Amino acid sequence: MRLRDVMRILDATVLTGEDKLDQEIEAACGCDLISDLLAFTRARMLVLTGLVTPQIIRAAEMMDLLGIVFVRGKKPTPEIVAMAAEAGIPVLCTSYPLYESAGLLFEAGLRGKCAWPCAEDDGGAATSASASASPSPGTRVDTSTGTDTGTSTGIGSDTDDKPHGARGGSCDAP
Amino acid sequence: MRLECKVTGGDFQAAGEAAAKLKRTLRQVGIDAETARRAAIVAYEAEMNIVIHAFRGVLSVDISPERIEIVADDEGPGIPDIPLAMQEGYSTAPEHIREMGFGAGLGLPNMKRYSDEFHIESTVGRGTNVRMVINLPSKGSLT
Repeated sequence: MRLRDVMRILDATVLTGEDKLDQEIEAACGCDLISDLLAFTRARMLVLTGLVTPQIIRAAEMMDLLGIVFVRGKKPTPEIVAMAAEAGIPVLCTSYPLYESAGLLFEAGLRGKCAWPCAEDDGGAATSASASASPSPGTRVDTSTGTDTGTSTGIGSDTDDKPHGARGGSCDAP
Repeated sequence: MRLECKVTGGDFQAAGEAAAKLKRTLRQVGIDAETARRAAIVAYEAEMNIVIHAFRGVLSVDISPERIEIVADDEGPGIPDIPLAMQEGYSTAPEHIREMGFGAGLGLPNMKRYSDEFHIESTVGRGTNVRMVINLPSKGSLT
């Protein structure tokens, strides 16, 4: 689906990135927490959010996301739009709420492709065990995740864009 | 190649600028998109942790042909219980931080998840030092 189709389906306005409306969107997610966005979203996705802050733009830039749709009629400030323009991230606004926006896009064929840890996570327990040996101030924890082998991804041929480590599962949206 | 950026606690306007600068630099020197993305994410999380929790800090990055080493060193309250802080969902971020979309307790676990090596040291009342290494996929990544 192209960004232009997203715009039509959500009856959205474009605040910046008109030159990128023919960009192909591979997947989307709905997210109101930057922490979740950073943890579970993959590159080249569209994010639907009601979180209108400069940090959502910054996070999208770090994540290589292809666009942001502000839902529920939320309007970013001109500073936020300028920041998105500088980062080259298209910004759309729709009056549909998050749930309906996601539903409309999903119905039109745009799926999620999240990396939600439906499968077991990697190494967290090892970190705790290693760290709990010396819990006093000045604690040092050394862990290496470089040797883990990962687990099944269930998301297809995604070795290029999955975060390092054991991830995956079959869920479609955060 | 070495980059160093000062990070100020509580400065949410500038927050993320250091990580953004790092990402641009990595792409400029020819690091592949996925590796640059991983480095940017861990740097951004580390930078945000300084902004949210510490008084001030320095985010430094060393880039060699084999690896990217990112260090976040801060002056701040420190972390009394690192195993607890490493648990997904645990956060000490106050309400106004959560309203900005942070404080879900995923920052440190996320840094560990995206890096090949993760080391953390903290002293209560002094500060925290996080060192992360991302190995470059193969020779020839730098142009």
